[in-house]
Amino acid sequence: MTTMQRLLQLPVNAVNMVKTVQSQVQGQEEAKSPVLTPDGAQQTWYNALQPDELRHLRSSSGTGGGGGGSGDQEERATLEEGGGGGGGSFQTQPLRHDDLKEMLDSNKDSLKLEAMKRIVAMIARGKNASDLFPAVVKNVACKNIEVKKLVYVYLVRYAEEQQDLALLSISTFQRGLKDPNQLIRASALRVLSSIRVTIIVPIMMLAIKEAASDMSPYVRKTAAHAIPKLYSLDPEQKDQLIEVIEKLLADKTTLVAGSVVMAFEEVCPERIDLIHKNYRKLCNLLIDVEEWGQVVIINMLTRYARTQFLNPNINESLLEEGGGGDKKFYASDEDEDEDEEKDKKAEAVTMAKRKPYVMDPDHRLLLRNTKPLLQSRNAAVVMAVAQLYFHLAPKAEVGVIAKALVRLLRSHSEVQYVVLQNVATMTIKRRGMFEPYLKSFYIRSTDPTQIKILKLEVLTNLANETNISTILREFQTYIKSMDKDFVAATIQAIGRCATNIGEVRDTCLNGLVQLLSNRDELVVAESVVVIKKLLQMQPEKHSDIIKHMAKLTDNIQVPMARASILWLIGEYCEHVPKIAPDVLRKMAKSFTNEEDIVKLQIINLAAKLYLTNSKQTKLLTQYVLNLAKYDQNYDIRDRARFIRQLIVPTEKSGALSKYAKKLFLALKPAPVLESPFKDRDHFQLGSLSHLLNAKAGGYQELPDWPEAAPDPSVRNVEVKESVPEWTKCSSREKRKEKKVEKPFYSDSEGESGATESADSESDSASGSESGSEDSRSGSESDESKEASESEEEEEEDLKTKKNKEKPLKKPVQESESEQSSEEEVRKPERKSKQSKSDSESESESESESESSESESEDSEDSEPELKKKKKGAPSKPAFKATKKDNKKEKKEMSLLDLDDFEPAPSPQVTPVNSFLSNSLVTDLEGLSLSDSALMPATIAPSSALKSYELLHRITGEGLSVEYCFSRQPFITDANMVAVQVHFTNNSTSDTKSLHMEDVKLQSGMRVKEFPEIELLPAGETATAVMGIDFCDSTQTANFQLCTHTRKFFVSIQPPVGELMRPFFMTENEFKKEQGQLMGMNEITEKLILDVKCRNEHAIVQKVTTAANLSRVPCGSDKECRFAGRTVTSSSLVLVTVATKDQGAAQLTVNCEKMVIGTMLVKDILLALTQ
Amino acid sequence: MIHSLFLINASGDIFLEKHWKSVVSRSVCDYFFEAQERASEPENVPPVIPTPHHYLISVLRHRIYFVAVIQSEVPPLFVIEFLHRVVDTFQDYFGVCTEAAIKDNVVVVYELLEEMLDNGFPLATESNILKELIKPPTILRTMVNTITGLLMLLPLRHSPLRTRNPRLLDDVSFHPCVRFKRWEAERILSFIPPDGNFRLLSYHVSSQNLVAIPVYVKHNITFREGSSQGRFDLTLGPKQTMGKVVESVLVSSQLPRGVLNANLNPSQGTYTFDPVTKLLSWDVGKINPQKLPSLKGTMSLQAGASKPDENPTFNIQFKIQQMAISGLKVNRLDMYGEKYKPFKGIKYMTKAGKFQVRT
Repeated sequence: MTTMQRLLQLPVNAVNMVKTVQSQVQGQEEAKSPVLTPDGAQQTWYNALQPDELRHLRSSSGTGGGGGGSGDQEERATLEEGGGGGGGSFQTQPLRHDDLKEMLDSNKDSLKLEAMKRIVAMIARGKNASDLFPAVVKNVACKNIEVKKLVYVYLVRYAEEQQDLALLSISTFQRGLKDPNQLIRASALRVLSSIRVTIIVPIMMLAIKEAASDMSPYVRKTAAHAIPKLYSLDPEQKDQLIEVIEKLLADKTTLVAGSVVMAFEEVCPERIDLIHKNYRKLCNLLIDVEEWGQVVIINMLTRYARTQFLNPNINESLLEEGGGGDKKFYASDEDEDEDEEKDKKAEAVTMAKRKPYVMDPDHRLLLRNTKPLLQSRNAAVVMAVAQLYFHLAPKAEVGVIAKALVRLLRSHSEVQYVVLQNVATMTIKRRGMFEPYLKSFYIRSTDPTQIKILKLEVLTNLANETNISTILREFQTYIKSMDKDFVAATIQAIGRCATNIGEVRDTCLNGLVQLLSNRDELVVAESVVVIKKLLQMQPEKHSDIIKHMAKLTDNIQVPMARASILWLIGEYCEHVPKIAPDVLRKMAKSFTNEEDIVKLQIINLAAKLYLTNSKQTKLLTQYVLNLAKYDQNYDIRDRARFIRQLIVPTEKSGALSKYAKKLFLALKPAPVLESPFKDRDHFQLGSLSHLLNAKAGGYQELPDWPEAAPDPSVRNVEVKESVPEWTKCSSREKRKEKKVEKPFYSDSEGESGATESADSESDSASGSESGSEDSRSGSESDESKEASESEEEEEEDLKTKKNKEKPLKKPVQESESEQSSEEEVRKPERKSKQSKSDSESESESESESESSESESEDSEDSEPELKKKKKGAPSKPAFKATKKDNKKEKKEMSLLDLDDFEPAPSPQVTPVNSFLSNSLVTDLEGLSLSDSALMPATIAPSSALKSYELLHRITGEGLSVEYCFSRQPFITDANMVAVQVHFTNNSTSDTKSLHMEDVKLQSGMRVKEFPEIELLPAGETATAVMGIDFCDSTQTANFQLCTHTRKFFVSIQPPVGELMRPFFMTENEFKKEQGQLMGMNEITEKLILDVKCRNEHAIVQKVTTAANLSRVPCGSDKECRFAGRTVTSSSLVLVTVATKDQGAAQLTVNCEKMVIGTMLVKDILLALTQ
Repeated sequence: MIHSLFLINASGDIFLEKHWKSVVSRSVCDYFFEAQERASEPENVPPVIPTPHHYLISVLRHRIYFVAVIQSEVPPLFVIEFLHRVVDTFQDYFGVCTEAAIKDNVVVVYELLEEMLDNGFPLATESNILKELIKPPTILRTMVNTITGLLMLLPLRHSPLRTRNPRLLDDVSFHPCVRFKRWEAERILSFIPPDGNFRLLSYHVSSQNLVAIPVYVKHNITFREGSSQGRFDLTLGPKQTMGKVVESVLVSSQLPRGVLNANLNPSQGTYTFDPVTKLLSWDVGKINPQKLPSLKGTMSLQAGASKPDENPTFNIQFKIQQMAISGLKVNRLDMYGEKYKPFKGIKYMTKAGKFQVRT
């Protein structure tokens, strides 16, 4: 390099430029390879290189064979020198970038970071930093996350300008897409899709498709975001993208819902048919979707509802029409197209007769589920719901939005501005709605003028006979304001009130006339204009006002006002016969100095006077017309010529002049002072188009209600949605991820549980039935059949395992059908049943999840044997275990979520990353927690729980009592174990006032008694929950169970496994904690596993049945880890089961409480060996 | 949705720009500057400005215009609400949202904007999520880290809050962390608090529950026709404050244009009058019920001019500690899922919002 430099005698910076260009050249060569052959050898070669090596490579190639390149460069360098003009500017500019380049090339991350920060600051300031592209882009693979982030920022900004070089980075992102950390996958996809380079469209498409099937909802969300990006880059991809959208629309997570609907709106808003199947789910998810997504979904659903449901106000509007309540309607149409009108009416009447309006339950669902969002803190959400109600709700229900919209008026002025625009439109159609809030629209002197004027508009729209006096008094105050634009608007508002409300017309007119003596000319002028309009309504009564105004011509200079006065005098010259000619005289004098609109009115006045009073005004008129003839303005010249021909009879003038008087002095209709917001509601409220009163690009028209409702059954959803997979899973890693993904899907399905209420029949049908209904390919329906089989198998499996346990395990189907009937009951008495139905719906969701899980399992089974051996066996139990956990700990939703979102952790994930990912996802996902998480006290049918006898039927004289540990946190005291007590009255007489007495406890223990059961009729059962703090010991709690007649001594002793609750941790945390609980705290036992539980699934099931622990995700097949904390002291309990060959295994329990540890070891040992 | 964002200061410099799709030239801001020139006051710039190819939606906060560039239909409130959220985030990160703070932290600002929008659609707007992705400037950093750590360990934390008189609340809006169903059914606010400060609930007291305004104003402002003098007499007094002190009282008023100067005498505090803007402001401090604060004196008017016909309005700001004027009380606060004994406390405060007295 140095030799060449000397040779060419180039300045230092030029050498650096050589580097640049060479890297560019090289970049182009490399660029093609990753694109065309993503798995090609070239790419790996590039990937394998560290940035440093790359630099070495480049510099050596520069010295070796860079002849052509440097020659090029020479030319460019000199060119630049010439272009720079002076040496000074040339020196400083590239020099600064030089040091940046140097820093970027250095080995130190801190230097790189500093350089990147400076570059980003340049970009932020709008400075061009594109010449640094090659130096920056090679850091795309930098290990330092901070540097990397900034490189991404840079890349996205400049990739479009430096397409070829940008391709260099693609392979990094492709690798990122396969990263085990979901955040890295997501960010790779995000940056990749933001690079606006057409050549990578196929890569983006592939990446989006894969990400749409990713296990992480966050990645799927990113995929949804990427869709519109790709669409804007290449609209040709629309069809393929719609497929992805369709798939993502079926996603059941709240995280994805908003983003995919946004993609839908941008790519294919016309494909309303894609929404049908997802409609109910979207309605039900809505409240848990993040705010921005809510806005998009609500707006889309408004449009959807307009196409699918009937107008809820159809009967009302009929009534109005029929009863003649809407007179205007008749008046306007009567003369013109009476026939058509009749037809229309007849049709509507027959329709109403044929079918009284019944709201579609789905329509109701939407209204019901959006209503709570009126209480959102986000103004955009509130507005979205408000417009939904305005456009979709029955008139009687729209009122609820008023309060929320009024609340928004206390927000920032920009928010007020938009809200007031919409309120103004609404007040025209639904005035009554805002009337109670009249005072909220009073104007503060500190409001910005634009807000004042909008409030004025609303106040005017709200004015009616009853409140007009209040409003006028308020207006009176406004007129004194110092803000003259506002005063002018107030005067106009008074004028409008006067025209709309006959009673106050005279009052207003008098008030306005008083304003004519105001000192501010603008006020006077505005008053004149408004008075003119008012006078037109009843001129004969107000000749004195006209006289008064005639005098004003001497003073008022505002052209509009002068023109108005002149018009008034001309129009009503008969009322002021003496003054009018005098005014014309004055005007003729000043004609040449007047503004154009005034000139036109002078001509007008002259013509009218000429026609009524030609004797006095003939000469004046001729004079004025002569002046006008030579005016500069052609309008005025034209007008003069026209009028002369019309009013001055000549031979040529012909027939028209006879009618001149009729033409000029015809009775003119009084102006209607209308709100500028009238009829704006044909735009969807809340939209940009509505605000501008003009169609904005991309605006989707709000369709009219259909005449007849389309088939509502399109929204029915089959129980099983077999999601088509995009990618054939070829690698092992992929498969693993997918399996973990399933529980996630199925779990969140629960959220949409209530949706299925309307089609309970199809719901309760078994999987196989729905499979055959499924219109998809045969293979898929086969799959679901298999699924139902496997489900049954599993059931049996469970039964055999639990043959010792008495209780009540309902078959899945039964509980499901019960659920649906339950739901029908629920609707009318929703509130009272709230808590119960909540738990019920959960049970349904669970059974659903079960089926979909077994489905996935099944499809897995059909994979080749080889894979099954390698992979299937260990991982299949893994998620079954999660499911079991679900069942037992369904109340601990957040714990569950954590379980589900933990991606199959891989050893190379650094602790920091996993920390980040977990907490992020839980935070995001925490939003989707169902409400039931809050009601741990509710009773869920817990089929998997082991029951113990408290009181035998015979000892209890017909009363039998069982208890089980529900494994839910006890709501009133977190340190208590919840015990669910189940009473059955087997006797023939009623049992009354069941309660507890005389509780005898070991020291430290506490009991929270169950509420008294007042009546247990014969043959009935009842369930109650009590809480016991066992102080982390297996001591018994003794007490008396009393009825109204008898007392029974009973006792409850907990198995050690129930003294703990699941605790979520990652593998790394587990190991760390385990490391601190060694020695005395660690108990290890060797065992031979029972034949039946030699797979992971069985182990997990056995352990979690024996103890209330949660599974810790683990990378190895050979180890199962569980974690929990004791209920009272929150001591950690860690359990490890390591399996070896031939069913040999090792059980390790780490627990601070040695007694608990020892007992737990015994229990688990027993569970695993029997 | 949102194409680009420009930050413009009071003197009309674009000091930051960010693009989420392809780059929009900053010349698009010329339309904004035009509108700005047309507007008499800074806050009178229309929030939505149509231009031939774009729409500009802007908010004004802390004397900075945040101008978003839109290319197609989008609910304007969506953008406005988002821009306000951006400002709130900056405030949260840097303590203040000034031009200097933004310039000092330009890289963090840029990264925040990058995370908050993806392709113009909001991605992460919650402060706790953002703080995990982007570290706030150093002082806050350590503190935030410990807090996030806590949340991680205790995902079950939720706190029902019981309010005593729910009928009082006419209209409420919630932070998304509140479980709405629980509120509807039992009037209990149950929520998992996000990190940091946040507004859990805002409420409006219905007009049926007449809330006594804790301050009254006696005024006597007269201009005599013909004389170039006006009398000014203003007295403040407390009303139904249950023994609590009304403090940080600040009275401001825009006097009529005809007023040349004011020669006033405050019984306490200090007053200023700007003869150019005609803005009178009186920093009163505390109101002592025994000795009511007053501001008396004369105003000089333009000689020969007739008396102004407008009456000034008074904007009054005040604070009352340990009292909620609405009568709202928190009944109890329970916390679940935490193993430590939390310090529970509640602080009531009444603060005047937009309180105006017309004369």
